[in-house]
Amino acid sequence: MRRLSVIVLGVLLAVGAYAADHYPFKDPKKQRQFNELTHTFRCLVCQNEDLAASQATLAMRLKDQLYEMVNKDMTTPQIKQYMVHRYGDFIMLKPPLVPRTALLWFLPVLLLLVGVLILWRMHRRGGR
Amino acid sequence: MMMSRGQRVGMTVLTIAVFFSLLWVSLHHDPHRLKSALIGKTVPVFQADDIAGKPLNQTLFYGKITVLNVFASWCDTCAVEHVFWINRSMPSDVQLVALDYMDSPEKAAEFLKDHGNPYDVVISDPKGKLGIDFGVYGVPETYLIDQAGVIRFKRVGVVTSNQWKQVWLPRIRSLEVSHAST
Amino acid sequence: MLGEWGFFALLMAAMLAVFQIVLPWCRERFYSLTLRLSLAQCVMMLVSIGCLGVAFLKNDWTLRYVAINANALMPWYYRLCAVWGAHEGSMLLWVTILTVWMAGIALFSKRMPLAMRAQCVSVLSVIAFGFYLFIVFTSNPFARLLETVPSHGMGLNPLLQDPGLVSHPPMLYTGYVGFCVSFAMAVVALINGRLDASWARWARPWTLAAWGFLTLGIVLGSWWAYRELGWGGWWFWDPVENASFLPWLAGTALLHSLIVTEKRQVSRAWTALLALSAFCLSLLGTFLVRSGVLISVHAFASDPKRGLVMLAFLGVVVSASLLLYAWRSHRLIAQDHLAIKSREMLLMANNVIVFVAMLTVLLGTLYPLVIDALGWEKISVGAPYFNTMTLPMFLPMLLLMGFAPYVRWRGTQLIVGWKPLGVIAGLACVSVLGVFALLSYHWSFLSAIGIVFAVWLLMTSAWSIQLKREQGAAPLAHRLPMLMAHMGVAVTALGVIVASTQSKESLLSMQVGDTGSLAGYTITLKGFHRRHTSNTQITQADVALSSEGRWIATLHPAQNYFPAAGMTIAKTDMAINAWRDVYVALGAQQPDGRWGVRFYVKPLVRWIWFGGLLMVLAALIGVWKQRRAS
Repeated sequence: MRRLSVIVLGVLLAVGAYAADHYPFKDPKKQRQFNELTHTFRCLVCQNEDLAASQATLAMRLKDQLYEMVNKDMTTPQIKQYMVHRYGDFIMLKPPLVPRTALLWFLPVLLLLVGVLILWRMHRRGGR
Repeated sequence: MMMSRGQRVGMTVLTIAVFFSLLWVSLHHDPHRLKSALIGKTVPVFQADDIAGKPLNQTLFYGKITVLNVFASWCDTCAVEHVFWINRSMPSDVQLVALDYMDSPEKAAEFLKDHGNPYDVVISDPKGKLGIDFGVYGVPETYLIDQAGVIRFKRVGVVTSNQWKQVWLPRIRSLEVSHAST
Repeated sequence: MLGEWGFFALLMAAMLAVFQIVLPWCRERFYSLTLRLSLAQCVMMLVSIGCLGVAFLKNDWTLRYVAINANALMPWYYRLCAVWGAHEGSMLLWVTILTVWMAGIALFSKRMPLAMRAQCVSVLSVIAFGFYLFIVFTSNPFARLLETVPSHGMGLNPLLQDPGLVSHPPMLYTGYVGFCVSFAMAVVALINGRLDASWARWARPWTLAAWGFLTLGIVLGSWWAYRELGWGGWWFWDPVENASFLPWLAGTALLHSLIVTEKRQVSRAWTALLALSAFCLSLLGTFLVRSGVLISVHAFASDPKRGLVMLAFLGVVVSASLLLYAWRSHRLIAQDHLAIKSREMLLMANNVIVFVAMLTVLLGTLYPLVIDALGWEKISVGAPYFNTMTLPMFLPMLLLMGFAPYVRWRGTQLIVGWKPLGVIAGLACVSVLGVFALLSYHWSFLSAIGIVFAVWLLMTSAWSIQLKREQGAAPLAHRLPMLMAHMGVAVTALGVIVASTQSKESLLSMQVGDTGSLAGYTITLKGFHRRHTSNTQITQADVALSSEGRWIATLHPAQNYFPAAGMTIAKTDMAINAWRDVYVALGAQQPDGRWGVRFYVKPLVRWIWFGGLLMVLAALIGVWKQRRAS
């Protein structure tokens, strides 16, 4: 698959009429998967950027890796697992749902419910 | 709401105390410093060459304690750290292995010829593929791997003489002891 | 000499602050004196920061701060703005703006009792004094460079050399420092044990003014990032951005809560708590940005010693104000009854949503810090978390805001019946189909709902203009700021939703003569120009933009190289109209000689900032009207 992409790239370059993408995919679904993945992972050596925006060496290397994995038909969950196994939860921009992040994920909803409850009590309370 | 004044003040004090002690602790932490995700896991299965072209795989890490130093000939800080490795001799049951990360084997060979080669083995990783499997994100980095090939410790940044004495040697000692007792 | 004068003025201001802290509590006849001293303090700080500015203009390299942040090759206006380009100078700006707001209380607000005004000024002087100590002992911009004096300074980070630097930080600081006024009023009201409707009435115009500046500051920051960073992004949930968004959210809740407290005596204590929170969040944000505890593209260079001092100061202010509140507030929420279809209920609902959103953003920003402090495995909380959590909160808020012009105080019927509102709702749903027919790129249920609600809000606000007094509506002049602000929110919401979901991007590798296509637009790389300014070498590309064969514009994205800093910045160029931006950025030249080019089509992105400007205008009109009403 990799060789095919290289050939396609070569053909496009030879024709020269249209500029080639950095990470070309023939399948638009794969293109979308790749684009989404570059927005999923944090650039570890940057000051708060995702892989899509970063030009750091590590980011480019990881993007190459993502490109390979998407072409190898790996699913998004598999790719995420691959990255987290090597770099830890920190590489995910969306924090995982695990015991230590339970408060992070559930507190806002709880607070909202508490707020609504308070409003309800203010409505109920008091004479008229 | 329906609390007494004392209770309200007490709760406020408690909340403020917790909040500010957390912030105070975090002042002493570096948010960029990451602990390795591979601590406690075995080294990845791999096939690579050393810089002379000889094939290697993960069995390289079995049977001996390994200090794995990730470096590159283009990295200036690694050149500074290199002096330390040249002057430091490993204990007899510890091998010093290098991972030449995102670098050409020829340039690495030249670097080692010019500055000396303290390494027992130098793995070549021109595309950085093995580096990703180890969770490398910059150079220099150094890993401690035990006799069973399990990653025990990782240090990001330059290893210094002080650090070696205070952090690395004790860990190596405890690995030697626990292996001897099995 | 300039450094010495500036430092001396700073010390004078500190001394004046001490007097102002003490005097109002000693004798009543010191009230006017305290107010006059606050004017003097303000003048001293203006002199101080003026000296720093002149030092930059005259390239006084003997001052360490000037030597690090400017060089002779920089244009004069960037050298002037370098005053607030780094930590020490920006702290000086912070406290100078505080003294300006303080002077404002002294000069205006004549309807507030003299005693209260003097006491407010006293409270603010406490805060100012803390900052003076901090600046003098840890962050002195007037420190001399006693080692070798360089012949030409280092220079400001090239990313900062942009019109954004001229406008964004001063507006931002004016905004969130401005919440100090309502903070001081709340503290004084709590100290005197008088939390009645009057403090709310006096606080409103000040809060509105601060909120307006903060909105403007955030809009400018977002616009600057969009132009500067080259990735088409305009909000990143970066901790420093969140640091300005948190006081904005608290300020929005405060504004609405003040209205309720003024009219209905409901939730007096809650409003005071909001006033305390807004300014405490500003201080917290200032701390977070400079302490090095968070990872951010905006963070100033950090120093643990400074971080500790700042934390201590923050701790003292927050503890003192919250303890005062816990001690003095007898009831958190008044025992009044709120009817469902009433203005009070709607305003309190706004409070709930906005306050919880604020807590959510605070939680997400601080959580990685907490996890790390507790020694657990690090996590990162990025844009996906914030978007997932805040979107479901803001969407219902849009819906509820649509009812705002139609509810009355104390409830009973809506001003208009359900039928007209139903018609508007129907039209809003139809509009979604229109949007998707025109753009039809990425359909999603959430974005559809969002567009429906935003259009609903826009239409209900616009239609309410024709409501008359006889129907029970307030005079149009009174309602106008609210309507404008709400329509601004709707416009921003539409911009956010459409730009986020319907934008298209393409990363290309081009050489001269190549073309690229995206969403019906075609770009052709025609050639390059090289030129230079006093401190920059510019490689500029000529890119012809066309659509369906018709030429639209020639864009000039560039790579600017700053020799003094050894940095290259990509400069973007855009073709702008009211409906879309076509955005082109020039990346680095690749080893094979081709150039990286980033090509984006972003529909409705300008609406994001246009809506923000509507909100700022609304605040302006609101402040002016409230001043006239007094």
